[in-house]
Amino acid sequence: MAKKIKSDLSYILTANELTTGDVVFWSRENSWTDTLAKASLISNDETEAFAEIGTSSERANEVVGAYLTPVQQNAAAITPVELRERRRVKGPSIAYGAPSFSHDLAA
Amino acid sequence: MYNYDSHDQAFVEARSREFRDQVERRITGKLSEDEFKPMRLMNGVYLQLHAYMLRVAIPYGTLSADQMRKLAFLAEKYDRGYGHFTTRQNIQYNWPKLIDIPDMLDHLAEVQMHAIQTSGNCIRNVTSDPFAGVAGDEWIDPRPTAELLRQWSSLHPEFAYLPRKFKFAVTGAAEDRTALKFHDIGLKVKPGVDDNPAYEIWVGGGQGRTPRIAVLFEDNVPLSELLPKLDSMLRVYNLHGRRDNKYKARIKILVAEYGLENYRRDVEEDLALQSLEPFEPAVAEYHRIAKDFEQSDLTPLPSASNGDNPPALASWIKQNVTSHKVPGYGVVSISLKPKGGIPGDATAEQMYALADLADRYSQGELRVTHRQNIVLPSVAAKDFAALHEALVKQGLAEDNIGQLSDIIACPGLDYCALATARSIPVAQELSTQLREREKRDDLSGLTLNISGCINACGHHHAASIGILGLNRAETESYQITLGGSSNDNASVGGILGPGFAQSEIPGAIDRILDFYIGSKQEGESFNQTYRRLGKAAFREAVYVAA
Repeated sequence: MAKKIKSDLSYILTANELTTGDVVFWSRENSWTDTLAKASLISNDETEAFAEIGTSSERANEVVGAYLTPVQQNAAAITPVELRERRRVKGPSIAYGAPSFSHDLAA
Repeated sequence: MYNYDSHDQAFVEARSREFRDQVERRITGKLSEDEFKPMRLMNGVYLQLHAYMLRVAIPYGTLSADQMRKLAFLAEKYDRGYGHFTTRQNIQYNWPKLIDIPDMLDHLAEVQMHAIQTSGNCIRNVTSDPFAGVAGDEWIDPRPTAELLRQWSSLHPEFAYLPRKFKFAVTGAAEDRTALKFHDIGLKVKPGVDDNPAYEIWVGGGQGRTPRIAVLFEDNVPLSELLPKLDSMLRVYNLHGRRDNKYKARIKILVAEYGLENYRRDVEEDLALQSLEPFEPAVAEYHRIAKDFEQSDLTPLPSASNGDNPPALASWIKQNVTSHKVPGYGVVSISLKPKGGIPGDATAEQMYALADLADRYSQGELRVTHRQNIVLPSVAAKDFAALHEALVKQGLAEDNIGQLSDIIACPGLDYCALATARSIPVAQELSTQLREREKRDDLSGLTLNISGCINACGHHHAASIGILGLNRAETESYQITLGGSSNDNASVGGILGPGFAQSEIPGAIDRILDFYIGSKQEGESFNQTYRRLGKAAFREAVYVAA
């Protein structure tokens, strides 16, 4: 489940919610949230324990494909290190679909 | 159009019920994700970057107005008000919830549609000529053959777990509008004997990280031998295709590495061992299917004069209307590539409107093209003006079919879990730029395709100008290829040089076009100029001039 762990980075635990497919993050309240700002920051020596949380949650049919991904944090925000993950947490960068649909764009 | 018989209808309804049961068992934990994944993929359900995605089959790209209405309804009720038409003539919904998908499949079954085999390592939805049955250059209608293949390949027990996915294209016209030579198997349908078709079979084409042009396997195969031949071709591939490396598992690799002659010999040996008896009903079934595709009577009409048309209408007719085999009618292509728009996307409102326009002007029928546009196949010339006016109201009257701004683009990193870079924003910026440039330069005949990863769903290998999005040190980088083509003289584009940042792409494309316009000889196409002058000359123009 875990990607290669690098010692100098923090991590977040992420997955997709099983029934909806929504992107979710393991939060500081020990539950899944769709708000990145609430994600629990995981240090290198905590990765195994949090990976087990992801596996347990998969077994409990709450989420699909849980994994740890490295992030950087400053006062303003948590930012994934990998390009794919940066796009995944922000959503599409384009105004899509019907004009009546409200887009929350974050290019 | 083909109408389901009771067997077809029972089949898709049963499949829908089966998937509902599978989803329930997944949600209640009776199936693990590892167990469920192959089942959902066989029903067109992916888990993408942000959500589940449902890919619905549009067999050989043909839709009735009622089917288009149903697609609009699904977009409205279960998605975010839009759908995305793909390079394989399918439609994808980007935001369905897993718990809603069984209901979506039930709705589809009501209009003789499904999502079966739009994913997974099986024979995928068969694609065909979007101008089938109406094109002036057609030898024989390819749709009865495509439908025969749909029936043969649906849940074919032997070919449910092939080494990799397997794609067919079928055409019956002089001009290839299917990218036939980039398919695992391509069939050219030609007149045979006794009112039966005969086939050219091409094999081993494909894109992805190892692009290959298909080679001629056999010419003049009679209808009675088609399915047994294909059975043996798939069987030999199933036996010898590599399963140790997914990137080398397609039939193009088998044909290249094993050799066409060895492959052909094995197929003939396998065929000699088979009983042909199970295939005997296929000829009668072909003719039963063909009856459904017989053109309802179109009375030839006098050609309408376009001399007094306003400029916008005249330009749209010139660019988007192709000659029909019946005088007084036209094949109307509707661009899903508005200036600055998302290639292939249509809102639910637009889909409802297209359905109504098909009913009013084109015998209730529509087509989807592999270039991600929509076709109304039979429109009377006297109705062009009214149709154009209605399309303008829907934002669907872009007059750029066959122009460079008619860009193919995959969903890219905005949606796709496999993508390495975004492709849609690049297409949006380029289409804005190119629509302006097309006002002063003749760029018809050139193609520009964009893929967001090496899997090449955006057909970048097969374009005059191809753009491939890559991830370089967690930053998007775009590689340009030149000289590709998907027509009968199919070719794979060559890499021009080092990649560009997204912001550098418009300038690079401008320099390519400047050099082409300044260097081309009378009547020369882009690819002809590129081959005459060579890559080095274009490279110098693009990189040294920067």
